[in-house]
Amino acid sequence: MSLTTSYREFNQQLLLKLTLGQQFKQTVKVPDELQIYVPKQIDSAQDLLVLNQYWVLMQQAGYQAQGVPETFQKNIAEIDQIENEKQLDNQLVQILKWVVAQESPFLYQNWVNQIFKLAQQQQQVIPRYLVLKLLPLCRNPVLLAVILPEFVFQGDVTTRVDDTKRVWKYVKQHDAAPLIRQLLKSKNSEWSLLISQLCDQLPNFIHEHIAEFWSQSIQKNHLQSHAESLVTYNMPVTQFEALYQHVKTLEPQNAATVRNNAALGFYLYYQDNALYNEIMALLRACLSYDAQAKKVKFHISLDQDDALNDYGFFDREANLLESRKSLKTAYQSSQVEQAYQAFCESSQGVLYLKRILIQLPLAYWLELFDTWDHLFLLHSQQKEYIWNAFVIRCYQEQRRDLALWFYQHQTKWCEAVTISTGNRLEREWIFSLLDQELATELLLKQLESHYQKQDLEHFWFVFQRAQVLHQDQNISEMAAVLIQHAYETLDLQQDQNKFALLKEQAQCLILEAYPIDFSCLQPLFSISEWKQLIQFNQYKQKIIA
Amino acid sequence: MLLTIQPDQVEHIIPDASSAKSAKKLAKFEAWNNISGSVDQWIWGEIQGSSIYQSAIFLPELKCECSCPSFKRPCKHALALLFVYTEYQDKFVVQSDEQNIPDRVQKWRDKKNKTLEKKENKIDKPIDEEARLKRQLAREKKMDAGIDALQTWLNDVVAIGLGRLRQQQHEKFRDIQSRLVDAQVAGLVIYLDEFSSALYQTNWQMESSFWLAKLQTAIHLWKNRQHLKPELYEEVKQLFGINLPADMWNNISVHKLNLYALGQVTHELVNSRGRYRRQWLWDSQNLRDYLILDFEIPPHSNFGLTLPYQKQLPINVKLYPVISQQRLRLEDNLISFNDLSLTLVEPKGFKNFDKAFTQYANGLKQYPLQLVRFFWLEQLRLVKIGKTIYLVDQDQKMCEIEIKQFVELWFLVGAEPFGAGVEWDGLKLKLISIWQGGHFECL
Repeated sequence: MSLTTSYREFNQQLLLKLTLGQQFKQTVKVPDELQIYVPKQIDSAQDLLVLNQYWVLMQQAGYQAQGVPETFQKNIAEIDQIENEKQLDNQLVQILKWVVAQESPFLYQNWVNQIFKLAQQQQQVIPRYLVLKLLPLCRNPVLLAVILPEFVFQGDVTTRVDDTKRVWKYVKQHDAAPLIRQLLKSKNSEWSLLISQLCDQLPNFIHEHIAEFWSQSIQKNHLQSHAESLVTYNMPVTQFEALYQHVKTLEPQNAATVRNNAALGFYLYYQDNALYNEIMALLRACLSYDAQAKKVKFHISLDQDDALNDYGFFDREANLLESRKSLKTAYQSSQVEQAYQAFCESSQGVLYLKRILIQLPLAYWLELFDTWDHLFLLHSQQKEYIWNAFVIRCYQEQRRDLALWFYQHQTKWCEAVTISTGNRLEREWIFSLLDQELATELLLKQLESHYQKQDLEHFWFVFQRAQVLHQDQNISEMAAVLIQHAYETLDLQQDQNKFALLKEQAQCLILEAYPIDFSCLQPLFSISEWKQLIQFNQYKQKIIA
Repeated sequence: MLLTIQPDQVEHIIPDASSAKSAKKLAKFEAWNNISGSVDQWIWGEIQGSSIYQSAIFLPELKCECSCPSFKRPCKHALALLFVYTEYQDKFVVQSDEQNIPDRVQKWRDKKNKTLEKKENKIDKPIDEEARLKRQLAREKKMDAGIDALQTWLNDVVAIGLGRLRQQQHEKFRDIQSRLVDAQVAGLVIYLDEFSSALYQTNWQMESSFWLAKLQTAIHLWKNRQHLKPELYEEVKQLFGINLPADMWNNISVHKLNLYALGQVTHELVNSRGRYRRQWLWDSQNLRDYLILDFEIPPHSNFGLTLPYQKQLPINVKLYPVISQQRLRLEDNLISFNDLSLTLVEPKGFKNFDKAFTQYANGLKQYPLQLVRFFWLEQLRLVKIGKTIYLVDQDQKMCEIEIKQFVELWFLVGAEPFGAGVEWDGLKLKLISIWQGGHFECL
């Protein structure tokens, strides 16, 4: 509120008088309007109180909003609307609103991500007012960049979407520089997450810019850790041809360079380099397959171990340090032969072998085993480890033919729900290669047979991993029947954990599978959850129709 | 058909945060056995705790019973059952045969029915008007003494000056506040609290002169009470802490009003454990506010009904017999709002700030002590100039608002216009709720 000059002076005087009390000796000039209520001359404290009483009342009664300064009027007019954005359909908005109103919205993270994917498919953006509440529920900057309204990226209101903003700039404005700068700056774990999402969803970015990124990383000595996460996340070597071509030109090819560039995987996969032959020669001397004992034999001297290490075979893995120590101890023993034999048969020895094999191209594997069938005959000591390595190798080289062949013959091993040794995640990689027609037929048959046996556990295991089949109507029907049956035979009070598991499966089914009428699953959900799921399902049906 | 209960209605009967937490842990559908309901709106169920406990709830009043030994009422079991009920209502089969109601539930039900009967059969005790008048006069005499003391105190404050008061405020305030409590003018203690906290605000001179004026006005009204309109006198009495006699309500007629519930604000009570809540209602036809004020003083009392937002509600109310005609007493229970249509129409409001301020000024004429009012304003925009946040109306006039989280609000409304509910107390504008497109949010 603004007062006219005479009132302003009076107001200041009055406030001063009130603040200083009797110390303020000046006479307060009472405006005419107030003289009806108080004497012209303010003498007593009582008079002052009454004067203040009426003055405050008068100010309150006359309160008015102030005008917007002209400079800002222009600004307000200039903020244009972004009209060309397609808003997310209301049905899905309602579900998102419900999720963010829940006490633990994190329980519904999967819902949110599925809705985002639908939005992405249809090139729709989520409402602005939901953005801040949904941000913590999605860790995927690439997905976010597509489904967030442009509003989020204007100005510098928030720092919460920095990565997303960089991806957005690349996708919408073809400006890759900020994203590359960030990749160069970011620490190991952040880098891994971001790069794996980029590989997955923006392969073009990788193809176009990974080489540039790599050469800058070399200057900054960040390569080691970055390359490691490439391996950790098991990204297919085939995706990085551009990178290989680039690394090859950087420096003369020798072991140290390769190691420093963390490029062993590339050098071994592509054969047009001197290093390939060098390493293969070394390995041919060390490794052989013994058909009689059904084992891969390895005869590795300490010098050879050093050489392998120089090439970068063993970098940084703690378990391998232990293995290499054991190898050294074996050589220092008084009975070298026996000690070495014991090392080969120990789990540390097998791990050592696995580490070498996992980096070797399948072309070399075939040379080693002579025929692939020998893989199946392997001794139980080595089988688990080598099979795991084989699956990973198939993935890195994207060998769908070998994967199918392996799955056909070792279905049980691939589908083991619980395993005693080894790494289950490694063997699960095989499912991502089973997406061509022959393989899906096989998977479908598998699912049908689990269905016939009412084996929900195995059915679910395969269903979850066989993403290609998620759009198959029959599968949805079989899964719904199996879950419903399991629920009906459940003693709720006894098997609360099982109930939770079933509920999760039913939820996953409705969210991800082909949308059929899922009403037989209703008993697993609360009224409000079911209301949302039904909406979601109907929405998906509408899209398909 | 059992009554539908919304989760937020359950929230309001939770005695404390730890109860909420443990109740939510038990609120798993699969953990409850033998859940059912009765025709007369009881529901019950059993859960395995340290032994098997049976809980039951009388839905229309959300009255909870449980066989567990806890002193807390409602206990975590009953609350959990209620949560389960809100989510799995259709799993509660209504038992039409009385035989199927468990014995313990039957007992609670009988007890409840008896008290209901008692209430209905209660013969109105004749009120001894003479004794009441005598009590009133005695109280007013006490109050006169308190008010005199307050006047002396204010004179004293003005003589020493607000600057000095800031330095010695504690003992200065404590004395007069306890005198007012003794004189049964506890209502003014809150004004003194506001006054003392105003001394420490950035804009302290303005704000404390505001409260000084309010206190002086209160004294002025009390001293001239003989000349006041009866409704104004009643308003002042209530402000000072004289409650309306319970039998008065029988003589007040019920109105049916069509109102929007457009926001609520909860505050801690000063000097006592508990909270009070303002639920703001808006008459979209006549552009005026109504207020439901309720209190929560655990473990004795809880907040009453929470009205559903965003819809125009036909509600039965009694107006407090005071001049401001703002505060309401709700005459409905949950059943009234069980099935409302879902069409959402944005309420009408003022087109600019000055219309709202004019209404405030008119209110002051009637009741000079009027404090907080609620306005619904159409087509506002959010603007940040420097570090200050303003709301701008269609006439390009603006008012500063106090908000802590600008970014959140900015994401909520963007640069587009929105309808908003604001509280105005003569000093500060507070943003309470927002309606933009189909989206409503109470902040």
